[in-house]
Parts: sequence; structure tokens; C-alpha cells
Amino acid sequence: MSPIIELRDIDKKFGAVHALKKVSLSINKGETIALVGENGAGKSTLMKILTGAYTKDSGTILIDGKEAFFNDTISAKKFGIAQVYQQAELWPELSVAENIFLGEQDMSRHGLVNWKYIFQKAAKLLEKYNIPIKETAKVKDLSVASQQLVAIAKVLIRNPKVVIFDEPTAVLSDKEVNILFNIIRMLKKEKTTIIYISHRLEEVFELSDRIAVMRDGAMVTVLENQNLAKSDLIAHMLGRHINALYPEKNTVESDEVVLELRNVSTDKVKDISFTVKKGEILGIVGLVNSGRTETARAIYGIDRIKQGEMLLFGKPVNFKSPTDAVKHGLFLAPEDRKKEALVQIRPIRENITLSNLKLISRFGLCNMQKEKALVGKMMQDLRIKADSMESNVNTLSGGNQQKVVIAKAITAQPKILIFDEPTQGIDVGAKSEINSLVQRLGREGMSIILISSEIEEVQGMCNRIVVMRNGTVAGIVESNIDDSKHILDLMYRSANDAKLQQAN
Amino acid sequence: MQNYNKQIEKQSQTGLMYIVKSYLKTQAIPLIVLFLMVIISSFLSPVFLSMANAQNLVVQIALSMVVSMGMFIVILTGGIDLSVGSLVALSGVLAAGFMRTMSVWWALLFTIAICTFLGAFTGLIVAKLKIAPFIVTLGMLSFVSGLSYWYTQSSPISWRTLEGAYVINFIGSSKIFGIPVLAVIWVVMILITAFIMRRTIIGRIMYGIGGNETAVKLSGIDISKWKIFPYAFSGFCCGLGGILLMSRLGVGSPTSGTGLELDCIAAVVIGGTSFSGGIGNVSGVVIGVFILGIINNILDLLNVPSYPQLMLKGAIIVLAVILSTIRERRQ
Repeated sequence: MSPIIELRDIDKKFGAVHALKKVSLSINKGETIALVGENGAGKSTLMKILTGAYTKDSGTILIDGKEAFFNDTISAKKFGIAQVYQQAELWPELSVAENIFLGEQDMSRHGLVNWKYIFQKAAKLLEKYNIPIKETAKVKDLSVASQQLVAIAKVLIRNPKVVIFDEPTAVLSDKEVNILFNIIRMLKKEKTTIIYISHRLEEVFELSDRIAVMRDGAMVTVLENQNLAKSDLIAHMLGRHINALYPEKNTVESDEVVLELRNVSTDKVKDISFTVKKGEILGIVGLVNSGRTETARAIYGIDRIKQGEMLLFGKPVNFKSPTDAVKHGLFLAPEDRKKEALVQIRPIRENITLSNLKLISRFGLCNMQKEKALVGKMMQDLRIKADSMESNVNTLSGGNQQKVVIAKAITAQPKILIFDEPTQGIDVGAKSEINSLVQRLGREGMSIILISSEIEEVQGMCNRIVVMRNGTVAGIVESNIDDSKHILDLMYRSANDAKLQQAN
Repeated sequence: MQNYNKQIEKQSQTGLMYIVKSYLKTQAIPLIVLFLMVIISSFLSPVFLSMANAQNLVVQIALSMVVSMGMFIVILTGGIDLSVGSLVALSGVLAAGFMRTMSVWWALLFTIAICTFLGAFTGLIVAKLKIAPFIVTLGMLSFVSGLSYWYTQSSPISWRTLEGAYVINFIGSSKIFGIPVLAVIWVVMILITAFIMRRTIIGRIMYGIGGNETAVKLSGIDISKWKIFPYAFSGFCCGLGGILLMSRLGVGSPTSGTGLELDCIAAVVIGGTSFSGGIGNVSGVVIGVFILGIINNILDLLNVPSYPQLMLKGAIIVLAVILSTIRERRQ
């Protein structure tokens, strides 16, 4: 069997981040290949290069044995490569049929829309793949799961040779998952090549012929899906072991509970319960959309708590805004440095003191001397490398920007600090420095909630870890007792699995 | 380690040289344009560089200078204020009208207070209800304009014969050591605005909101409170500006101030303030106002009729915004 797609030594850098390191993968015609790996392993980047959304720095793409040059998504489409996106990008005001056909050439005749043809063909398509949706329904009236099915139908109408599914089941319930799997099996019969990206390993085992494992931008291995043990696959995904990236943990913890969540629910998370002790670094780990960031948003007063209660030093609190939360001694260092954490076009000095303007002002007037002294000390303390404290934050490297975020958080003098993905997208050196800083803050008595998508990180940093899945707590584990496989299992276990266990 | 200490020392150097340097860096283009315009103008008209014309120029730009200060902070925070022209007119008619029934000082105070309040009201809607400032201020423009016409029954109110006219006369026509009082007033307004923006936490928060509203909000700062300030301050500037204009016109007129928003937006943008917010400073706005003022001034001196003047001004303004947008995109 000849490969329909062959990727050879694909390399891609984003600034200092080496997203893909000489990745090679050959995909046979008609096979279903699964692509797995942790967040940031490079799966999505690789697919974006294949569909032409990104251009590669080096390497070759062969389609049917001929070299292909994709500079935009249109040429990939012409080759018959189609991707179903994670979030449905549809026109909510239009009907299902119109959505399926928008952007297709044969929807019009002589410049006029051929309505009869569109509705008939859409109905036929939906029937063929057993998708229980009326072609005349408006997309905005459908559930999110049904919308995802429409997005899939929109791809199928083109009769693509290769279909890429990127986390297709993230928003689907069991019923729609069955419909989707049925579609995929039909496509397989029609000899359509399928690339299936998923965090849910059971799906991968069920659907794929081969499984390609990526880690840190490299292709680790491609495994045949026969007699493959789940534990082996996870070992390949996780790879290296925890090393000197993580400083010694604080073992002496007080028993004083500073924050307690009791069955907290918002629009995005449900039934969250855990406690944070004084000086503790509590880890929260989970996949994208598992509710880890949403939990932080609930605590910090961004999303309203609908049910349950939150106790701060034993007293119930209900924050209406971040301003409220900050007043009560909380602070959030957000995940996105550019969009949420820092004012990129303002100097380091102003960013650091923005979290506590009272500290450097009296009657609204800034005391520049005091401010410069404070910022100078902070920069020396955290070893922030910059030309001057007047440099704009956007001139700094990612690691130094993250240190500015920490400096800003320290300046706020919070009792509880929520740290969302503190080491995302920064190099190893800065990573270990930041980890030491976080440990130091814990020893000094600050309680820290460390949110991460990396199991390694929470294991290296925290004694207790809250594992999240599908918007709720899947389990709370002790990192010195439970191993990473147990945590992974909690993170990835699907709804089906849980039911099976119950049945047993 | 020693190197590192040196680096920190360097970090605390923010002396005069640093300020001058960074100023030249950000304001180089507007400064060059201003300089070229002065040279070209002095060739085009022999009277341009005369003392009398200089005095005339600083009086002519008084209104747009004062109102541009408010517009600057609004645009810096990512907003826009289209109601300035009508607020200026309202200020003029209210001041003149109030003078009929109360002392001139109370009249001026009430007028400025009302304009500030109207601005704050705009700000409240923008900040609390999160409505686009474009729409809110457009509605305010119509509302305030209607209010002025209603209050005056669409005929101007003269203040010259009223008690306390000497105060208004002093503002509009007097000089202190050869410097028009109007110029003194706008200089003071520039200093006040610069002080607010550089030395107070208000300025800090305004730059922060313009640069990244989310980051400011997540830092625990109550955005919905602070976003009222730019519009209230703009209202204050319009109140003051309307009195300045009235003092020159001899009447409070509901038709005055028309089209002022375009002049002020142009001055602010020509002066290097970014439409997307967060970038810009007071000195740039001052240069912007001077550039537009000189264009008006030289066209007057060359006896260009007022309609072609309008056309030319519109073209220049759009061109300036195009250039500044291109510059931003490059960065």
C-alpha cells in the first residue's frame, strides 16, 4: 500500500519555541491513524502545516508521492484534505443546509442559488450518515453537539480524501459520539484516510489502525494498534521522568485551612470541592476544557458561583468581581501573559505596581522614588533581565515576562495566589527559576493554587493534586503516594469508562 | 553579580536625558512635521512669524487645545467622544444664560459642573452598561445640541451688557505681560492634564486600560468605575472650552462648536495617540493641536476661502490618520 501523505522532517519554530522538531510521518491510503500526545506536543501545529494554515520552516510534504507546496488552506482543500475543527465555525442564523453548502461552488447555477438542489442534497447527506438533524433547522437552535455534527457534514459534502478530526468528541455526549463513530466507520469503508487527534485514549484504541505518539514537538513512535496496552501508550506519551527542574518541596505544612470550596458550581464547572492550607502549593491538573482555568475564574470572582459555597478563613464569601477577590487577599496570575496578565505596551515598572497602587501612592499621587526602589529590588530579587525598568514588557523574553507577572503578584501581597500555567512556553532555565520562586513563596506562608496541564509539573511542585475532568473534580491525589499513571488515568478516563466501572 | 548590580543601577536612571531621548523617539515625526510647517509657512506669508500673528495663533488654538486634552484621555483608553462640539455650545449658552440671573462666578462654576456631569453620565453608560462609546456620544451630541437650541430658543445670548461681563472680557481679550489670558489658560490645562497622566494613579490606570483592559481588571482594579473618568474629564474640558469660545464670540451660541470633534480627534491622532489605545502622551497632543492650528492660520493668511479650507482640512486629517495607522501596523 502506498502512502497517500508523507511528511518528511517537518520543522517549525515560533520565535524561541521549537514547535516541531524534524517530524516525519507517513500515512497510508484508507487507514485511520490516531495522533496522541500531551498538550503542546505539537499535534495541532503539525495538522495546521498539513492543511496549509501554517507554513513549515523546512521539510517536505508528499501527497500521492508528489511534493506539495501549501501556502494557504485553499490548495490543501483542492487536494481533498479537510479538517473538522474543535469549535464549530458555523453561521448560526442560517439553516443546516445552507451551512453545509456555504463556500461550496455547486450551490449556485448561473449566479443564482439553487435552493431545491441544496436542500435535497443536504437531506440525502444527513440521511446517508444517519445524522438525525433536519436540513431546514436553523443552526442557532441546535445543541452544541448537533452543531458539531453539522460541521462534520460540512466537511463530508466535499467527498474529501483525507479527513482530520481534532478532538471531535470534546463537546459530544454519548449519543452523538456513537453517531460520529458510525460516520468514521462508513468513511473507512469508503477508503477515506482519517487522522484522528484525541485525548481520550479509549476512542483511539477503538477507531485507529495505528497510533502516532508526539512529545515536545517530536514524533516519538508510531505503534500498531494490536495487543497494545494502555499503560505502554501512556509511558510513550509521558516519556521522561521528573528531573532537577523541580526544587525540593516544602514538607512542613500548617493545618490551617485558608480556602475551602464546597460543591461550587458555575456555568462551566460543577460540584467542585477542595481545601487549600496555609503555605500549601495545591496543584490543579486537567486537560483543556476540563475546567481547571474555569475553577480559578470561579474562585477569583470572574465567573459567578451558582451553587455551593466558598469559605475564606472559615467565613463564607461571594466575590462579585476580581476587585472583590483582591480586596480579600487573593490574586490571580493568569495563563495568557499577552492578553490577560500584562499591559504589554507599558514599562515593567508600571506593570509590577499595577497590582497594588496604594503601596506607591498617597491621595492618588504616585511616589516615584518609592516605586523605583520597590521595582528595582524586585527585579534584582527575581533576576528580571531587561535594559531598564522603563523597558516595555513586550521587549522581554517569555521567561522574563513571566517573572514580571510573579513580581506583580508578589507586589499585590496576597494571602492566596492562583497561578495558571506559570511555566507555559518558557525555556527550561527560566522554568526551574520560576519553580524555585513559587516554592519560596509557599515557605514564606503564601498559599498557592498551581494550575497546570503538565502532570510532571504538579507532581514536582505539589504535595496534593486536584485532578479535573469534564468540568468537575475527578479525584484528589497525594503526589508522594500516587504515581503519574494513576493521575493520567483520572484525567483521561471517559464517561464510558466510569459507567463500565459502575457496572462491574 | 557586580555586573548585575550595575545593570540595576542603570535601571534606576530615568533622568532628564532619558525623558528627552524617549520623547524624541516617540514624537520625532510630528515634531519634524511641525518644524517643516513653520518654515514653509514663514516663506508663504511674511506676516506668519510676526508677534501679532503669534498672539493670534495662540488665541485661535485655545478651544481645540483645551478640548483635545479631554479627547486625548478618551482616545487613549480606547474610546471616542463625538459630543464635544455640542457640549462646547451648551457650555457657552448656559454660561451666558446663567449670568442673567446669578453672579458670573456661580454661572461659570455651574456651567462647568453641568458639562462635567453630562460627560460623567456618558462615561457611566459606556463603563457600566458596556455600550460602544461611538453610539453613546453620538446620542449625547444630539441630546445636548437639542438642549442648547431649546434653552436659547435658537437665538444666541449676548453677555456683553450683563453684570460681570468684565470677567468674560478679561478671559477673552486681555493679556498678561503680552501673553493672552486664553493662552495662559490652555497652558495651565496642559500642565494639569500632564500631571494627572504622569504623576497620579489615574494616569497609570488610564494607560493601563488603553493598553490591556483585561490585565487591569484582573489586577483588582474596578474598571467600570475608572472608565467614567475620561468622559467626565472630557466634559470638564468642554465646559471650560465653551466659556473660552463664548468669551471670544461675545455671545453664547447654540451653533458654535460644530465640527470641533473632528479637529480634536485629528489633533490627538496626529500627535501620535493610537486609536487602539494605550499609546500617546500629552506633549504629542500639543504638537498635534499646533500643526492643525498652523494649517488654519496659514490658510487664513493666504486668504483661502473657508469652504476649500474645510475640504483641505478633511483631506489632511484622513491622511494623517492613514500615516499613523501604517506606522502602528509596522510596529
